[in-house]
Amino acid sequence: MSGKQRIAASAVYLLLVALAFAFLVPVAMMLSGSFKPDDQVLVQAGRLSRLFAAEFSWFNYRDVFARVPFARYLFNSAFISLCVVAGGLLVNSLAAYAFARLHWPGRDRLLLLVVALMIIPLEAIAVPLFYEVTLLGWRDTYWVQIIPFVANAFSIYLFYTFFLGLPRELEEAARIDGAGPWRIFFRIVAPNAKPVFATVAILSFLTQWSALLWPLMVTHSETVRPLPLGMATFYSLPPLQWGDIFAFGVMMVTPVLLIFVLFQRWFVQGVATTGVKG
Amino acid sequence: MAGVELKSISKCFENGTQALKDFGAVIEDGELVVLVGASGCGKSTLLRLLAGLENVSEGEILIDGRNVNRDTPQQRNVAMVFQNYALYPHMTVRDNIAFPLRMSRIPKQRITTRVGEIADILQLSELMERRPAQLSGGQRQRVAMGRALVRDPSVFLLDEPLSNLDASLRAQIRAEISRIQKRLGTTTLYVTHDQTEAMTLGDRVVVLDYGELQQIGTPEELYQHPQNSFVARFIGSPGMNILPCELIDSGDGEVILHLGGQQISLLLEGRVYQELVPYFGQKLYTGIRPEALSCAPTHGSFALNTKVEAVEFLGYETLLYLSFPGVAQLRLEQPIIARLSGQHYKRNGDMAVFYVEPDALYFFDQAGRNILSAGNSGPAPVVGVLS
Repeated sequence: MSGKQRIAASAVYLLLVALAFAFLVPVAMMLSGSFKPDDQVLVQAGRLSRLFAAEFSWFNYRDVFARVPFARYLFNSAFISLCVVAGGLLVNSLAAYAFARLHWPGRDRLLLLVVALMIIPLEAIAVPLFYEVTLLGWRDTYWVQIIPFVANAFSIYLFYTFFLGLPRELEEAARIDGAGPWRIFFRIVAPNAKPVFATVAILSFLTQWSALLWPLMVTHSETVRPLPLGMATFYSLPPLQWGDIFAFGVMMVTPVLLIFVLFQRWFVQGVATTGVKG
Repeated sequence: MAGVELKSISKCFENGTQALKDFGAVIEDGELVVLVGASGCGKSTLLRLLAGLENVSEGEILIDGRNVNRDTPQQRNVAMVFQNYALYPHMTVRDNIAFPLRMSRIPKQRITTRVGEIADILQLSELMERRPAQLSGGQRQRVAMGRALVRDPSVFLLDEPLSNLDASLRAQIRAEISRIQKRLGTTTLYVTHDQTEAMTLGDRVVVLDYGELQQIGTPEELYQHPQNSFVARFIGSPGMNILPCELIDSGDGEVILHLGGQQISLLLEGRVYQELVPYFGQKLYTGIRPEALSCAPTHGSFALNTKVEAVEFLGYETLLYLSFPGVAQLRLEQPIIARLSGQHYKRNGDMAVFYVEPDALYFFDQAGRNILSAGNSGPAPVVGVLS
């Protein structure tokens, strides 16, 4: 490596470290604040030297559980997110496979419609969707937070592009070996599409885990309330205690981080293969 | 095992491409037939039709006398080796080979025994727990064959199985395929674009061009008696030289061959003479195999004056690219190639005389058909050269 290259590489690394620092500081602040007494949280928030608490305490965490049914929110979010992810992986992958490999009338036009649907945000259809679920009598249930989000145009498109890239001969070989369409999908296609399954799982889990608008519109009881809505309610619950809010935040973010770490390898591979921005 | 009959098979794809036109052939039980032709000639399509991966537009496919047009690939009991092997990347060698048996719901004990037998035949026993990514090209090829052979198929289909291998491995695996096919006696269709593979492997060879059957026969028949100029050019390495010529009748069985600005008198055998009579005075093509051009005169041979355009020394032989002096290269449509054993010290631009035995000549009409009837469609039995 020449001198110029070394300087350029050092500059890039320096920039990356600065960026990482900028992104990590708020997380570190939240984590540190969650262990501090409430009166010290805001006072020390701007000082890096005081990042680590002088006194370490679980008090804020205990407080969250005492003030709101956090475990219930956590269960609700986990249940809803996992149902959407599991259902979504099945439904969207099968739909994408039908688009990528099967021949049926109107396939290309419907695919175009699916692609067009990707640009419509939830906010645009939230009110009509609200009327629809009200008509169905689904409000304030788990299902109202699950069923409308299982089929997802973006997920279908991700699966579709990945399946197009799989060698067709694998499926043809399986057909000759005696496998039917379902077996081909579950025994040959799906095991070779782990990266895209991981990508879709993580992306839809993240979307669902942080969903606020829709639960706010369709739920009112605590029994079906997910974490983000629980946190929004918690904000407005007097007295305002920042330590508690930080503790709530830490507990809300931890499962997402764990899932990302677990599936990181496949996720990165999937993002690279499908050309999705992470 | 079973024989295969293809009756007037046509295949037209949705986009209008006609891949096969009225193709017919009978493949005997236990025979190894090689389908050969240039890329896009329809040979792989034919294999896919036979496998049941595509449906025929017209015609009938019979396996063991039974029409299988509407059968699924599994019902046809055919096995196929793909060009890229199509091994399941997430499975071990053992699971890859066992997959067809599992799909047929065969008891586990029998699967284990059968997979073991195939592994022994193909010398794969040491590799059973590896995944395809951990295998070399040759090993992958053997696994693909194992997966195809494991359920004792009626017909074994191989789609250019050696095209991804290097030259030395290709020769080795080719011999292995031949050995295994002879040992198991499975009816086999083998697709390749390499005429050397076709000639060395096939009991019979099918030559295809633009979806049409050109000729079917043993390698010797194809080499000695090509039915048309396409087969003559395709079979042989290099293929036959096809040169424009004209035959002028001189009477009493004697004809003058106008070739490359030269006039050669030939005394034809009566039977051959009679067959050529309708073509006297017409523009024809004569065929000369590169190996039929010799530097040394032999009894009865005639001389051809040529100019050396290029020399390719291959070690055990030399290829000379020639033209006729004073005749534009374009009029010849392709260079004349002479294949001489050993090394020859000719240079580009040198004049060279080559000698050809008259019975090494073939004659094709304007449409490329071999003029001489089936019995005579070999080298024309010319009696001698007059001048």
